[in-house]
Amino acid sequence: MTLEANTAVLTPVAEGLSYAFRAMGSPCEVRVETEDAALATQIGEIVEAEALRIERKFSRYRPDSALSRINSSSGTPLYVDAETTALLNYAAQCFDLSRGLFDVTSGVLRRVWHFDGSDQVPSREQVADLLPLIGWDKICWRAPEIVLPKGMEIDLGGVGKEYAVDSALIRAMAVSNVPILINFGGDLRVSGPRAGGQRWRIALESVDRSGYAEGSLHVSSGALTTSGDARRFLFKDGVRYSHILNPRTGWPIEHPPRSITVAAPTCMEAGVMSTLAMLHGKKAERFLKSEGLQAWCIRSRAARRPLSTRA
Amino acid sequence: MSIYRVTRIRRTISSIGLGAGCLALLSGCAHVGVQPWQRDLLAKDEMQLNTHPHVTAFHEHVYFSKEAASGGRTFDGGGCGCN
Amino acid sequence: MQLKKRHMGPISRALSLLTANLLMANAAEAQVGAAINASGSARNYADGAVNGTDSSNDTSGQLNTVVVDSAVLFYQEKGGRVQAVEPTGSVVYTNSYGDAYSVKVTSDSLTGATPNGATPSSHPQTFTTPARGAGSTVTVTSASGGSTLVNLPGGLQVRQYTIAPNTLPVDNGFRDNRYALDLGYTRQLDSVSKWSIGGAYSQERDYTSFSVNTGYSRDVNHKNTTLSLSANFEYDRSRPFFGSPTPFAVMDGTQKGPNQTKTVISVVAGVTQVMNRRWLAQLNISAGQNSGYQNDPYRIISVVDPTFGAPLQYLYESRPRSRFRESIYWGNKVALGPTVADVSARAYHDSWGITSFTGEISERVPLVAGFYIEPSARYYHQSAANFFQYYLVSGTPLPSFASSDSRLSKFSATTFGVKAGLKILTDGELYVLGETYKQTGAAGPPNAIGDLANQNLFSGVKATSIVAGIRYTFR
Repeated sequence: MTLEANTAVLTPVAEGLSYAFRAMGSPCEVRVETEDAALATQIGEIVEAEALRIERKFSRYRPDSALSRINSSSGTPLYVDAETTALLNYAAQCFDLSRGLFDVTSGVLRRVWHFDGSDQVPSREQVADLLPLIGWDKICWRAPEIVLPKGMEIDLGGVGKEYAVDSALIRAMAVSNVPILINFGGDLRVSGPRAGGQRWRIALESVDRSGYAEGSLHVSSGALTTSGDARRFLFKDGVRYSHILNPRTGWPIEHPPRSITVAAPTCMEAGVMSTLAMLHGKKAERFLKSEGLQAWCIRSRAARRPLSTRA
Repeated sequence: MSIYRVTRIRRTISSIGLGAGCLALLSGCAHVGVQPWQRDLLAKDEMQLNTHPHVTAFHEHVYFSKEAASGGRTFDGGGCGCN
Repeated sequence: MQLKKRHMGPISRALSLLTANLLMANAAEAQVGAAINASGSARNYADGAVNGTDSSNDTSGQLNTVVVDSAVLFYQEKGGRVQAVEPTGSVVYTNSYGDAYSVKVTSDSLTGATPNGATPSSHPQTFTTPARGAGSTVTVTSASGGSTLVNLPGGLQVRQYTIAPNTLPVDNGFRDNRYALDLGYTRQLDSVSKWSIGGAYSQERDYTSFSVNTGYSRDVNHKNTTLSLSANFEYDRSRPFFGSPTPFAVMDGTQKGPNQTKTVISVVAGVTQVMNRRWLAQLNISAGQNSGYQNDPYRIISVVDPTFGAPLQYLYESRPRSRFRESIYWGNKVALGPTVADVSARAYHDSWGITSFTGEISERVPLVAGFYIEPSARYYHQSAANFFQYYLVSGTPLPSFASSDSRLSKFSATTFGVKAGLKILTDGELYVLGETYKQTGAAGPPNAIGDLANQNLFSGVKATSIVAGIRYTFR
């Protein structure tokens, strides 16, 4: 473990002070409505510490993480701690609730799917070979013992960032009552309204032209997450393949929205629901409406145009 | 639907019912309990049956030497000459 | 945008509940974390957290730990009776698979007076017991009078003590130290079953006890039910310095019979069942057989005159050599909101004719982060042993067995206590408990003879206990 230089930055913003740092491969920010730099730094450090802690523990990219320990166990039973138990139980429940659409074992598909804008679409056989290694029901999970069959992997990327936002906010709110907004790469949550009942202003990024705002939201409570393809897709023979893969078939969902922003009381709920909505493809808006969620879907007009080679 | 087909289905349903009944009997209290994700409260320290072993041991020792009954939760013996 | 209460669909409703549960543990830990890490820097906090200081409020985090627990009991009975100080310490190591090794040491130092079994009288009474070795100068003073060494004609030295009129006869001359060692090993055979084995050794000046035990438990029904079976074998040796008195022999200062032994075999079968998310219940059925010497070698029973109830003679008590015990215990832990209630009951019966009922309740109430109090109450009632007698009457035939020990009489007892616990450091707890215990029983038989009708023949105790302990989990 190398000691990384503390590259956090404290800057004044419209609402007060912003503590920005990098974690989980994304730009992260904590906005604190205060003029007190020491307080903003303290809160920012607590949030950053929690983000780093969760990243170190649950990142599949780090060989020393608890998750990597599970992924390299190749069939031997492993006992996990309380927090991992809670997250795996949550993943199990989401698998049941979504009838298999939400599946943390589907990460192995990235071995054949590389969404770099090219035309390298895998063959039917390549995808079919991976299907036996996907399926939460194939794992033997009896808390706190997990037996992961050889070749299978667990990827908590679908809930990791959202969990970090919620957990970090809880810790920050334990030390101070000032209004706080935590944003980890687009997954964000506020502690409550700003001083005097004012609302936080959030911009929704355009899917076609980055840097341009599609619209803006005014938030006084809860969380927002955005699922979208941004620049991740494959384009072959005139067909656009979205990066949302159906764990049951191994192939991309057809006609998903380009971007879905969901509002919910916690970041985890917003994240799971936006993922589930994406997996409903064409019926995403209908799903969100039937669940009574406030959401904004953006669909590309380009999909309805004749073939275009624009990447 | 022909009468023959209806009878076959009825027989199949009743044999499934009998099988399920036997399984239910065999599994006894299989329906009482919680799903693994409902163990949040049960996992807490304060929900264990013996949270303070030394306090329990002191109680068993005092009550063993001052009362006629003993044990029940664990063994009956006292290990000391106090009764 | 404001999140109003909307009509949530089934999936988002269920998800909302699941998320609340998941984040609850974090919320609890954040309260304590905030108090401890008020001004830590981000990197230090992150590093510390990575090394596994997870929420210690969860026993699935018992793997790979060493738990050190030490406590001391201070016990004091009213009226100058027994006083005890009992420190104890234990270390339990659990490895990453679930096997556990435990060692516990206890020492027990007792002083004070204990009833000798005789009835009070309106006249002073003098009791004669063997002296501990000629030439020793054992003289004890107490509120009920001291004891002195007396040289009798014929060269025998005895110890005598006199009890004032209308006072419960107690013997002050006893002080003892006990040392005990318990060892245990539990092996996790597979993810659902455990086997355990253990042994204990306890030594007092006049009493030695050895025991071994073994047990097996198995989780079934998705770990909602645990079945367990265990057996214990105990071998005890009683060696009062003066030997063991013959039952119903006259109390005097001569040396008595040889050392005596007894064995105890007992079995406990239990079921622990998760009833629902908030309620854990346990039912244990146990049976035990004691065989051998079960008299209290220091206890006598008065033989009184049939008209006035004046004591004529003191005989050593006599208890049967066999005792079969059975009991059913039902324990529960119920999580109600933030508090946890512990409710249990036990029914007991043995072949000496004693039937008893015990009921206990306690409620653990968290007050502020890391601090809780737990008030408790216990009620106990027992019937008398079939050979219990307050006294023997001169001229009537001697029964097969007789004992005037209040602990075998009919009485009820209540305990009221409060425990408090404070979480210290990251994984430690400081705990204290204060309790009062009181036994209540009839002052004598309904047809008490003569003077004895005016005496209180019940020698039950009133006692106060304080326990203080500290426990820490090393990971």
